[in-house]
Amino acid sequence: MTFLPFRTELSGVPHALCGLNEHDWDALVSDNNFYNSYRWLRALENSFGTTDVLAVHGPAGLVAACTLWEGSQSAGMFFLPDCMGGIPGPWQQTFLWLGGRRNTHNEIPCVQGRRRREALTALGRSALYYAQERRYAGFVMPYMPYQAAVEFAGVIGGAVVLHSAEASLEVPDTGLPGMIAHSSAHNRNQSKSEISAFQRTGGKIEWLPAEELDDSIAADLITQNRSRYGNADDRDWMQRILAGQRKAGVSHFGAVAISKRNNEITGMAVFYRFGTALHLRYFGADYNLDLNDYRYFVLCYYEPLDYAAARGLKTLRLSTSALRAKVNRGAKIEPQAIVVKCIGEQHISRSEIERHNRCTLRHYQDQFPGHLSRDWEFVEAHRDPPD
Amino acid sequence: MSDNAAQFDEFASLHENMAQWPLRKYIEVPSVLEAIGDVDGLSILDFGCGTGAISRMLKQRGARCVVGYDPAPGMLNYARRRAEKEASDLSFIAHLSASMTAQFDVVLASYVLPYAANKTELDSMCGEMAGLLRPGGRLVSLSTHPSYNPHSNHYEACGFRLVVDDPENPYLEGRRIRIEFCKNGEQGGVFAWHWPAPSLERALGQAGFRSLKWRELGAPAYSHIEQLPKELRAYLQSPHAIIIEGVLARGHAEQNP
Repeated sequence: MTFLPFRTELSGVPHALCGLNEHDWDALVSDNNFYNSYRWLRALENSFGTTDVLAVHGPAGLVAACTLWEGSQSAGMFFLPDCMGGIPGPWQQTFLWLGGRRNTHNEIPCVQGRRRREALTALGRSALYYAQERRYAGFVMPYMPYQAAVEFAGVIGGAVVLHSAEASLEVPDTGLPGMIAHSSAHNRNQSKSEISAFQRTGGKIEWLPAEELDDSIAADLITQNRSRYGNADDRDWMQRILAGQRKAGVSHFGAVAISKRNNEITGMAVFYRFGTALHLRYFGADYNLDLNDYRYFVLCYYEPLDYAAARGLKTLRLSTSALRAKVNRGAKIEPQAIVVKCIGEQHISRSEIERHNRCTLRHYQDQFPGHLSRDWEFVEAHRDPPD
Repeated sequence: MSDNAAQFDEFASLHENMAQWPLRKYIEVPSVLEAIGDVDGLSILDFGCGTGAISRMLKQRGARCVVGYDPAPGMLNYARRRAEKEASDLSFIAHLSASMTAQFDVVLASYVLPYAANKTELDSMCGEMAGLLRPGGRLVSLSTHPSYNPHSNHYEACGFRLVVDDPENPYLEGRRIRIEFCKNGEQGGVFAWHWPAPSLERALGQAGFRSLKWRELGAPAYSHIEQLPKELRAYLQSPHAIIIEGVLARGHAEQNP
């Protein structure tokens, strides 16, 4: 069957997030893409200020959109030279960043179906226009699932550079016992021993809706954990983030696993439920208590499996850090890529990208054999066009 | 997903906004709700639920369980996200499963049958609806009126046009109609197909529905039609839609498990 084309042109212009309808936006967001959902992005605005939005409207409403920011100017996960893995290019110049601020998972909220490609093309065109107008060297969208990156790069004539990986765990219908049953003998024994140690030291878990969480306690525990791993942001910073989330209504999606010992809180993990996915976002612990009770693993990997299974959730999304620990507890590793589009005469060597992507693929194949998601097969099969 | 479902993917926000259009607000939805009647304690499947606007109303009116089904991901995603945010205890599904057989008291099919592109699809849709109902359960279907006005501009004041492929023979079985939405400028369109009354009665009867009743649309909230806006009064003189009710024959599920 063929359909008549719509007559109205798609057009992309910068908007403010508050001027767009929340439900229209979220209808374009997949379950795995919680950090590009409307309320999460509004929470970022509440904490860090407003940002421009690229929005593409079809004749019947919103068909594609994303928020904009400028990345980080210091070394780390959102510093472009660090994302590009030594590939020569103008990475010290200022690029426009697409996606939520400091998101480690980005997909473009976009309509499904036969006009998806057209909508993505229009969004890419408006990103290019926006970047040219403001004299950026180009635009990037980091931390995209590999296939989403290839799709977007294909419509904008951009490059796909593997730069990260994230962990996810399919939730067995039977929850934790199901995961343990499918683990190797070594990992099974490790999981059982960690759970036993937690219980032996008197640890108990309680679940709480995030709306009932005391933000000051949460900020304190999360900040303790972040400082332990080198982050300089203080407790007030974290409290500002949580307040922004509360104001935006993100807490509505939140569920908090709290570990207690003798009625004292020893740690917590904050999750967000979105569709059939449960997203792990924060871990916090009271490191003044000298406990070797594996509460991190119990809170972040074991307990949420039972929580998710009981609610019919299908996937536990575990983000990009500590991949080894996650793999040993049942997770699969998914490839992530940054899509790069330079403006004007800037040239990126496709062969350099190809070489880099091959190396990255081999690295993950060597490091995590048997734990890679099927998306890596697409990486293996995909060849960028030659220079 | 069929092309018929795919054509709805980008219409989620339009579909939702249409709930506020006077035709839908004062005529279609009240007529459908009146036909369904008291929903207290009932289990209802909203077949082709779109963004879930009527599903939400049915739940608010006291239905025990409401499940929305729609094969168009764009529509379903809207419905799911909104239900999640509003904690409205609704479920929305993209596929019908065997476990749903004979589980519902009522199946609502609002503008579903006109999207069957051929007889096979029409029979299949009716069969699926019947399979979901308990024996004695009711189907309430909002469908194209067998004698809708085929002049393309006739319904323009209500926000849409019906453009038939074959204006000389608009009422022939399976004739294609393009529905163009134009309430707020040109907003795109979808294809539907015309199924005359005998075709619908045959398909529904074959699926196991009995006691078929044709119910003209009205404006239940208005005691006098003169109180309605002019365009809605004109609409009711020659409506494009009609409600068909049917009861699933007892013993049908046993015969067609």
